[in-house]
This record gives sequence, structure tokens and C-alpha cells, in this order.
Amino acid sequence: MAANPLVEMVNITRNFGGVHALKGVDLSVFAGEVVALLGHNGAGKSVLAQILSGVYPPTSGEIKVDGSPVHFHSPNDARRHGIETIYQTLALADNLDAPSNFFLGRELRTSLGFLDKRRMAEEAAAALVDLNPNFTDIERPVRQMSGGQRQAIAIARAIHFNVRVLIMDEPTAALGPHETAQVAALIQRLRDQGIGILLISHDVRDVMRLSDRIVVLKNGELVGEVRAEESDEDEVVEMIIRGRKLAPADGDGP
Amino acid sequence: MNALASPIFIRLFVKPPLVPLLIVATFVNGFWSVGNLRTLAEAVSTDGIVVVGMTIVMIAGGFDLSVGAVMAMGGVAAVVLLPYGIVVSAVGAAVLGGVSGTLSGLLVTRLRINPFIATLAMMVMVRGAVLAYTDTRPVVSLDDTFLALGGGYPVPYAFMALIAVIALAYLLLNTRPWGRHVYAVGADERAAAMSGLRVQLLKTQCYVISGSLSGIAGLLLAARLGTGSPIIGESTPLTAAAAALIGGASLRGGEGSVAGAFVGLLFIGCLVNVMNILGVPSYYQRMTIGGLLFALVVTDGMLMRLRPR
Ligand SMILES: Nc1ncnc2c1ncn2[C@@H]1O[C@H](COP(=O)(O)OP(=O)(O)OP(=O)(O)O)[C@@H](O)[C@H]1O
Ligand SMILES: [Mg+2]
Repeated sequence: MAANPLVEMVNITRNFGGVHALKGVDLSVFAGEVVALLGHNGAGKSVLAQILSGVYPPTSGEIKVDGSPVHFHSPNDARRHGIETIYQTLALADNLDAPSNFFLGRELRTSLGFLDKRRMAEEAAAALVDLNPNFTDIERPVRQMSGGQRQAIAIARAIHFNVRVLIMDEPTAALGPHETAQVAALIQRLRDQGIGILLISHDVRDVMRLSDRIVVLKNGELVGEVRAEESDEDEVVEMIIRGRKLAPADGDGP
Repeated sequence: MNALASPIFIRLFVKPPLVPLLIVATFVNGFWSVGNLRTLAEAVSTDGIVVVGMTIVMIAGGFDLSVGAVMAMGGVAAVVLLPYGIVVSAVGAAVLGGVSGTLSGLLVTRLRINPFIATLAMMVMVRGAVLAYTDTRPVVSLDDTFLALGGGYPVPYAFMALIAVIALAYLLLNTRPWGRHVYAVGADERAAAMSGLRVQLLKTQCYVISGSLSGIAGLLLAARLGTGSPIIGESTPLTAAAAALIGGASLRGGEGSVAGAFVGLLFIGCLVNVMNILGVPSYYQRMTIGGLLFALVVTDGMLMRLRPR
């Protein structure tokens, strides 16, 4: 594992008016590592993820990419650093078709700046069929598509553009068992390619199997983190529920 | 596919029933005469240019009540600036409209004011400024070039301008990334922002387009009438909104097309034209357009509740 983490979040806080969604959280992701972020509903997982995605600026705290401090003013800034996100809400425009959503904000253009609709349709189709062989009728508004198909679009577009850090906020929530298994395989494949993955999930069993490191949040605070291979489901569930760690910290991290 | 369910059929026969109206109009004396068709084309061309802007704003999830007042401002500005040449006059009308649109856009995006309220404020402000500047009297132009711009036979120049504006807007919305972004912003602002789109800039640009087009429409109307009137365009926002709604736009945003809005405007224009030929008093005409708008907003609202969000 590399000496520097790909991304590092230091002492992050975030307030929404009077709501303290995050109260000083540290989190890092190394290359080729799957970090799972766990916690109850409302623990602050999505807010932390979206700060790393560039959706919200932190109220205080620092984000470093490859060791240097960065300031994200928009998801485009994060994308420029190779940070891609599968949002819990998917962030699709319901009225547009799959290729338009796939390339939203980074459309393929002809030399005169016009939409290259044919190439967009072909590339999107190839990427989507790669995830789900039955996904062919892609040129219709995504509001007409199933939850699984919509999730497939969000996943496919996040891994299509030179991703270095992939944030997956409940990526399998709308998927059936077969597709969920495919996403699990995808996570392993991406990790083997050296991509850092931040995985948010409620399925503790899946998380134990897929992740290297597990970070637990509660009420916007870090409960603790464990290495998946040195822990078990019971301990992690205990951390989520009680909001504290039983075993002493193993001192991992930068 | 069932031909009766095809979008083009619906656009021309059902929503709106333009073709049935045209067939009925055959029985109205003089409707199909060249003179009347030219009158019709004149009537729809200035409003049509406004409709294009309104449609773009509505696709982006906004609304622009200020279009009529900005039209009046454009007409007055065009006439006042004529001594500096027709180019300065035209650019002035468009730029003033664009400035007004910029203000609307900033009110909506920066101060997060509801578009109806923000553009209502702009409407009252602009109208007030135009009335104050002209001392409520029309400004008259005798410039030959300007008056010629208001002519054109058999096809009015204003109508050619409308066709050009529609073609440009169509290209912008359907073949450029910008158009996709506007549709995305209108459908789901948060999703658009998460996808890296500059939502506030895009929305402001839409208001700027609407303002500039309204200014140009005002110029063309002033050229036709030979005067820049401070009181024209009172009912323009409603006509424009009705046309856009008929054409598939929605108060929810994310929907609509300039071609559809154009058909909507043709429908309204023919309706008014037929009522004029039949000598229907103007207040009944207003009631008809108002009732049409009412019906459209009600159906749009019902659809909004039916569709799961
Ligand atoms: N845009 C926002 N405005 C105000 N409060 C917010 C906003 N986003 C999140 N919050 C609040 O921040 C807290 C953390 O929310 P977050 O979405 O991160 O939870 P989560 O851990 O992802 O939960 P879940 O498992 O349900 O997805 C909650 O109390 C939530 O209400
Ligand atoms: Mg969440």
C-alpha cells in the first residue's frame, strides 16, 4: 500500500443551520483499498461522502488529495481529481435518456461543439450492457426505467471517466441479488486496479466480505474503525448500535 | 404504432386542436385570404419571439412574468436610440432586455426568490421605469429604415425573424450540450448540481435569453406600429405562458419544446383572429384566452399531483 492516502479528510465538520451533521470526522482512502462507512440512518454518512464529492463544502476541516490540500467548489472539481460518486439519490435527470444522463456535464462533442449523439449512445450502451446484458432499450427517459436500471446508469457513469476514488453511497439499494453480486465483483475488480473505494452500505455481511477497513459513524462522530479481517459482524454491529468500540484501536492509518 | 397516438398528430389535432380550428375557420369569411394570413403572421410573430424565451425559461423550471414590460421597454428604447442608427437601436433593445433578464436571474438564483414573485417585481419595475421615462406617452418614429423593418410583403420581416429565432432555439436546445443541461436543471436541480452542472449560471442565462428576445420583439412591434408604446404587452406573459403550456411545457420544469410552443401560439393566434373577424368584443376574447390558460394550468397541476416524484 502506498505511503500517502489517495484522499484524506481531516477534522471535517458540517452544519446545516442548527443541525450538526458532522462534528469533526477524519477519513482516508488508500489506493486499492475498500473503506466501508457504516452507521445508522442520519449518522452523517451521505453528508461526509458528498463533501468529498464536492457537493457541499465542509464547515471546517481539510481535504487532501495525494497529500496536497484541495478546495472543491463543485462536483466538477472533485471529478477533476478523479473522485467519482454514485449518489444515494442517483442524481439522474428523470426527463433525459440514459446516454444524456451518462454524459451529463461532460457530453461528447463534434468538432463544432454539437452533441455527438451517436457516439454518446454507443459508448453508453456498451458501458451499460457491460453491467447488465439485458439493458438495451436505453434511449428513453430514465423515469420510465426500473430502479435497477437507473442504478446501473449511476454506477456505469461513475466508473467510465478515469476514476481514482469511487464513492458508492448505497449502490445496491435498488438491485436484485444477481445485480448485487455483480456490483460486488465490480468492487473487487476496481480495487485490484488500484482504485480507492468508499463504500456506504447497510448490509454488514456484504461489507465484511468486500471491505478492507470499516469506519463507523454515529450522530456525526467517528465511533471507531477496524480492519475487516481482524473483526467480525458482531463487533461491527455492536459499534453501530452502541456507538463505541469494544476492542482497543489497532493503530492503523496514516 | 397507432397513428392517433403519434406526437405530431396530437400536436396538430388534439393539444391544441389547430387543424380542426383551421378547418372551421374555412367557413369564416376571409380567413384564408392573403391579407388576413399576413395579419395573422404579424400578430403571432412578435409574441412568438417572446414565447421562445418563455419556453426556454420554463424548461429550466422558471417563469417570466416580465416579458410584456420588457417588450415595451425594448420598443421605446429602439425608437429613442434610432438617431444613432438602426444597429445601435437593435442592440440597445436586446441589451436592455438582457440586463433586465440578468436581474431576474440573479433574484431567482442568488436570493432564491420564487420566479413568479421575482419576475413580477421586475415586471412592475420595468413598466414603471418605461412609463416614467416616456411620461406615459408613446414615442413616435419617422425613420424609413425602421418602418420598413415593420413591413415585408407578403411575409412580414418580423415573421421571418421569428422563424430564425425558432430555428436557433431549436438547435441550441436539441443539438448543443447547453440544451441538455437546461432540461436537466428543470427536471431536478439537485441532480443537475450533483452532476457538476452550473445550475445558477444556466438558469440566469435562460432569463437573459428571455429578456433579450422580449426586447427584440418590442423593437419589431414598434417598427410595425411606428411608435414605441409604454403600455403594450400587458397580456403578453399570459399569452406566452399559454402557448408554452399548450406546447408541452410545464410549471414543474424539465419539459417543453419551441416547436410545440409555436404550434400553441398559432392556435391562440388563429383563435383570436377568427374572433376578430367575427367581431367578438375584445373583453370576451380576453376571457377566452384566460379560460384557456386556466384550463391548462389546472390540467398541469393535476398531472403534477398524479405523477410520483
Ligand atoms: N441538505 C441538508 N440540509 C439540512 N440537513 C441535512 C442536509 N443533508 C443532511 N442533513 C442532515 O444531516 C444528518 C446526516 O444526514 P446523512 O444524509 O448524512 O445521513 P446518512 O448517514 O447518510 O443516513 P442514511 O443511512 O439514512 O442514508 C441528518 O440529520 C440530516 O437530516
Ligand atoms: Mg445516506
